[in-house]
Amino acid sequence: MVQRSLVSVVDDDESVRESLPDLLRQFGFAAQAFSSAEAFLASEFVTQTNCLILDIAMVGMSGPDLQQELTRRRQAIPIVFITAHGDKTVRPRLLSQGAAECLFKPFSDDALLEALNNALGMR
Amino acid sequence: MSEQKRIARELDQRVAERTRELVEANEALKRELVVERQRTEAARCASDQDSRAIVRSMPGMVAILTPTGGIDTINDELVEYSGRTLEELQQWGTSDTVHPDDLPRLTRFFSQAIASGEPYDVEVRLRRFDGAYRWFQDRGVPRRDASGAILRWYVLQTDIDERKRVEDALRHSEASLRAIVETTPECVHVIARDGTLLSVNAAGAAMAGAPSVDFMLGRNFYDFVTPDDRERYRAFNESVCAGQKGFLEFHIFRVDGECRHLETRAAPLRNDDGTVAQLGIARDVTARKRAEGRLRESERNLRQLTETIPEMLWSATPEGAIDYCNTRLSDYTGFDAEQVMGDGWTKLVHPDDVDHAVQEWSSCIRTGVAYRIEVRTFHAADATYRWCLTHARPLRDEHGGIRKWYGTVVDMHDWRQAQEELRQTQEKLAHMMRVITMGELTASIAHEVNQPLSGILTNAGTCLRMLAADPPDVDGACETARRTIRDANRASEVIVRLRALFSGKELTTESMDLNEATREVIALSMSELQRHRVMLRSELADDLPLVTANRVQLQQVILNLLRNASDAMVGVDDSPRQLLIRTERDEGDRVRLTVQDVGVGLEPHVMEKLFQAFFSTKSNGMGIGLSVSRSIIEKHGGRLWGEPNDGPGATFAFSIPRDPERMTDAAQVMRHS
Repeated sequence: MVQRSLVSVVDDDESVRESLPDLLRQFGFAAQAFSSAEAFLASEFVTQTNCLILDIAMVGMSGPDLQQELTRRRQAIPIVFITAHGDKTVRPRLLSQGAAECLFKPFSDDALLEALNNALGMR
Repeated sequence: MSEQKRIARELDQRVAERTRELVEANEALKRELVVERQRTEAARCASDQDSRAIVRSMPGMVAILTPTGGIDTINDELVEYSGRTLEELQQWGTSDTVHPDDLPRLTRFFSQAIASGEPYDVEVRLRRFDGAYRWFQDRGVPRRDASGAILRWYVLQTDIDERKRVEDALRHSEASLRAIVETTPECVHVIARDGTLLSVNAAGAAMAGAPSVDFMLGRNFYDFVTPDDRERYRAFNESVCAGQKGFLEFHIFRVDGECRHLETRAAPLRNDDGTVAQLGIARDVTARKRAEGRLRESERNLRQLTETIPEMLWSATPEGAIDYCNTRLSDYTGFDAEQVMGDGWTKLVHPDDVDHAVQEWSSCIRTGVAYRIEVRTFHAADATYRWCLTHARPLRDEHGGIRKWYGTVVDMHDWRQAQEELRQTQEKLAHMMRVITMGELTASIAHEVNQPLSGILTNAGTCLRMLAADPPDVDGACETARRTIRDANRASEVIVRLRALFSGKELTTESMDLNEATREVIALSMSELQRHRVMLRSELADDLPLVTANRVQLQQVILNLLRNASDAMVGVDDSPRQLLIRTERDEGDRVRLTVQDVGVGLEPHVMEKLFQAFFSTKSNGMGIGLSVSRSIIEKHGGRLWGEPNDGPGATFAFSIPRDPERMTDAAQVMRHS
């Protein structure tokens, strides 16, 4: 059996952590959810993660902070940012800094699948 | 010789004849004398008999004594008075008939009189039958015969007891009077019509600075009176001597030259010789006059002050009757002081306010509580009623009793209007702030709404995929559908809160949980706080009582405090941006909410302007947040304040009463206005 790609979700919003992993599994991915960047960094899944779905605004370390930290650790994980803030200017900035995608909540399942496929294809 | 013999014979004869004639004449004379003596004796006897009869029946006590002083006869009156017989009375020299104190004196006078034959007159006490002694004038007069020999003593005893008593009393009262006159601190004097000082007491001499009373007597009193008052005094003295009572204030120069202020009460005094003098009692009132002068001066100053000061002043009796109002008050109202006196002040008050004012005033008069009321007062200049604050406090004596009420009237009309305008402006500002705040909050609200929407979309997509799978994962689909419903409800709640915040209609108070309201604000602002990397810690008291307040307005204040705290920490990069929000019970049945940051803190010069509208330390702040917040808290009868922390940052807090019924007057005024 082919090893399924692991998609990790880092978001402090509980409903996202509850709902996204189920959808990811429906897509055929393995899924792990973390409530903060620190929790993710402390876990064993950093090196196993094939793609990261990362909330931008979080208590403590933010999404971009985690991105920087991973770069520093030379962990090149493709990142799909998600945000509930409707600030359109943030997307090009994140993309230019190496993000695979930036989705604005609420997003459709198709948009997410497409973003994930693109991200995994980048690798 | 014969011639000689004849002559001798003739002579003898003639002698014999003559002798015979003489003898005859002598015999005749003797006979005559005897007859005469007999007649006289008879007459004398008759006279003695008559005397005795008269004496016995005389209305007075009479005794007839022998030339040697023995009692011969006494009359009935004497027997009756003494209750003793003639024999007993004859022993007066050794009995108690005469008062023992008087007996030696009487004996002396009596012995002298008997020895010398001169009449005597002495006052002695004689014993009455019942043992009481009464005063008598005892007079003895001798009766002599042609040769001057004493035949009898007639003794008359006249009862003078009444007179003696009156004399005693008189003597006693005269002595008292003299003592009074001599010891009185006031000058008592008698001045003749021409000004001569006839009599003066020691105090009078001292008053004039004289060394003694004698120094003064005989001098002309007019010379002591100052020249300015002299004519007036002369007229006064003459008027008194003409029979008029009088009162006069005048000045004298003392012997040492010092001027003193005297006042005299005088009455005419009729002397024995028929002349009339002035009996006067003079008092030195120099000190009193000076004190009165000072008092008048001080009163004049005070009156000048109250008439000059640009405030409306009045005073009232302890019973509440107006007894003074200054010119400024009269000018303002157009009513004379006389018209305002007593309860006339009600004419100045707007008819709709009179009952309330009278009620309040009566209550203050009764209880002694300071009077403070805002009523519409007539303003003469434009014939309108203007809002005035009338305020009065009682002046109390040392026993706490009210002596007087002193009050002011202050025209508050412009101030009240300004307040009203300010209030309206603040209302507008408050609404504006709500709009601005909401504008700035749109992002976070969008976040709040987008979060559950995102969950809904994800769950719905998952649900569909689960149902489309082969075989369909029905359990999973049900689970995701349930999550969808839950997230939809979350979104709905956000919308409800949003609607409340945007509502512009008049907001009412409700019983609310400050903790819950605080949690909602935290929830609303959490994402923004996170964006600013603020670490929020909340310490919400478990036992916090419900408060009656306007939920949305309080939330507006909390939101404002949180945003300010967050903004204050923008520049903090070297340490955590810690923000503490705390609720707790406060003293006086109040609840308190505190927001503490570690930001830039508060400079002293900022403190005083902190709550002024349009003051801001933030480069992009409008400076209305705290001003509006404070007005909201004050409307709730509470207090909002800020202070620098001991360490970095500042603390803002408000405290509001739990029960709006106990709001302060000021807050109620604002609430009803």
